Amino acid sequence: MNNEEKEGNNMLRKLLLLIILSILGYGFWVSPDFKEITAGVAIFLFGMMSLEDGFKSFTGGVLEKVLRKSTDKLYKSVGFGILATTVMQSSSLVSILTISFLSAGLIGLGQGIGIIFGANLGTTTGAWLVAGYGLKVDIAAYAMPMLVFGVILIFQKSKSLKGFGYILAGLGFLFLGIHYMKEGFEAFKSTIDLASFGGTGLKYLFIFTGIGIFATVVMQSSHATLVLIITALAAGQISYENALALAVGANVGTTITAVIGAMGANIAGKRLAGAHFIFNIITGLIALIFMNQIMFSVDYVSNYFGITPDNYTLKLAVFHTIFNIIGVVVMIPFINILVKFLEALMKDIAQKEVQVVDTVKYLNDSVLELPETSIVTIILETKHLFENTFELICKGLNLDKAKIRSINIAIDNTLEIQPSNPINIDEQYHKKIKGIYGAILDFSTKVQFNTSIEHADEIHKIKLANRYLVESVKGIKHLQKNLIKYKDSKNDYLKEQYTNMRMNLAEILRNIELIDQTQEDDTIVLLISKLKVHIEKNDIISNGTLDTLIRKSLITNEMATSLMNDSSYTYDISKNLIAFAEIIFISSTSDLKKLDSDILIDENEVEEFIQKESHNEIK
Amino acid sequence: MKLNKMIKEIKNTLSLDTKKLKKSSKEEAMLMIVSKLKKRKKKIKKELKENLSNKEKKELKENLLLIKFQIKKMEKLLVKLS
Repeated sequence: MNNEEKEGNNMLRKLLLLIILSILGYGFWVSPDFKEITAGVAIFLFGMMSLEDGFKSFTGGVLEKVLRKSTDKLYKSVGFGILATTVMQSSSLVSILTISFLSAGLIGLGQGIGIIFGANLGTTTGAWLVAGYGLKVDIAAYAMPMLVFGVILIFQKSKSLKGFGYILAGLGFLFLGIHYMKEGFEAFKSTIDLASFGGTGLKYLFIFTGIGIFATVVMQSSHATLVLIITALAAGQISYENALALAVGANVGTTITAVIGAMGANIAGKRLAGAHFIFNIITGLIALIFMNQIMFSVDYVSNYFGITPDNYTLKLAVFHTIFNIIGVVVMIPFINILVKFLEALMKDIAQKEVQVVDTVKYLNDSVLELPETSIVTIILETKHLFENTFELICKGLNLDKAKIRSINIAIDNTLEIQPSNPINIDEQYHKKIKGIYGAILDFSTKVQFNTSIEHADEIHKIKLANRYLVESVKGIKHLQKNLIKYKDSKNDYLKEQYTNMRMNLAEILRNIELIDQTQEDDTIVLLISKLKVHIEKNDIISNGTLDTLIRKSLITNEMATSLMNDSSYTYDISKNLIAFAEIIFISSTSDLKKLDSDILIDENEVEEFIQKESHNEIK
Repeated sequence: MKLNKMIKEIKNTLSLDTKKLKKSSKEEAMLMIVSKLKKRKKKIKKELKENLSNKEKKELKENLLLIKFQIKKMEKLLVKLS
């Protein structure tokens, strides 16, 4: 969104707020009953906010885990959407979570749409609860103790108790809100009969759908609109037919809230909001076009379940459920088409333009409140940084990236002829590394600030892994100078050593690639140990090769100094890459996460191994 | 040999206190890796008997040595932890 659009959006919001405040002010002045109804809505909305806060702090980790495991198949995504929204009575919280996961690349758009469809079905349970239970009993009697217990728990230090307190207080406020709305409409009946403003026919169908849309946009919650409709319907302030149109409007209105919310989100969030919008508009249109047929099926279903013909509130709940089910059934076969359509419609700007500077792929502020997802996201971004580091090392040393990745090709065949015009590492560092590294550090620090000590420690290690990558790129810059200088050298001994350095680094990259591809914990342990031994064995300073070359005068003094420096750089680059792999691939493998790095062989043991190997002492 | 049987065997050979090795603990995870490495060791020993080029044999021998070393290290750790 550009600045002009942002300003326009802000102006629109301010204007809307002013209009709403004026209408409310006038309403309060004219009618005390209106005051009671709107206070009920306000308390209800506050309850929803409190409930969302509670679920965020209380079940954040659990939700993340469930969401990650239960969205691999479409029916699971839909099921998750239904269940989570039913339990939390908030489709917006489920939507936020879905957008976070989608933005972080942890789920695909198809799964995200599945969850949103499910969330739409889940919201229908709210209508059932209010119509079937909320209006029949004196729920304010339950609300008071809930509020008292809830607030006491909110003051507790324990995070789960605090979360539970928010949920309890949230439910208390929801109940209290419903009570005030109910009372307000009952009192309103004696002064004004709102039902007299209503009517039947196409005209009123569209008018009340419009009112439903407007009310939901203002309250930012279809759930609150629906409760308002049900309480008004129960008090006889609106007719059944008009209530149905209002419910359709509430469903459409909620998408406008989602679209406004997604304006600031990334492309993934926008696509999901687009799917939500299309789904609810189509569902709303179906409901309006086939209103008579749906009303007939509502009567049939109500009769089947023993709901009396004059129990309009429960019939409204049946209607709400039926038209949402129809929407899901109609739209599910088209999910793939919808995904393709949205991806084509909203192309990633970054994909459109020729990328000059690489930016983050996974980090997104929407996951900041979810610590486990944040860690997964940071690991994914670190792997992205590794991918760029891999590419830069290959370009800097003239290695064939594709050949390194293909294990069937011998490592000496991965070397390319060195061009006379090599790449500028500094420039590439600024384009491919610096921005991402900075963003990872910034994001990690934000997450660390609001998380447990264990998670903060894990993030600290991941930050170190990133630093190791950056250090290895800096090492390549130094190494590249002499590689260019001695590329046409007539001294074969010197050239051989530089070739070995390149091959050793190619070997390290290949093995890290293997580690990345495997899920076998023993393979990861073994490959990391193998790499540690490999760099020690091939270090020309410690294995005596450099001494031999000097002693036998096979290289000049200047060459010896260069070789000594460059072998140090190679050694450091290798060590940094291995240290990165040790952190990232052990952190992201669940079984290995339980183990400390002490299962891997350390420097002394590498030395011991090399000695024993040379003396054939290992049995 | 199945992994579970192998884990039992390792516990017996190293006389590990099985009560201390609670399920899904660090030690259990380590035992699992040791048993997998032992399986790998057996496989390499078998492969070494096959007709291989000298280069392949050398590589396999190096891997075998590393596996043996890694197993020894982890077994020592296990004894220390149990």
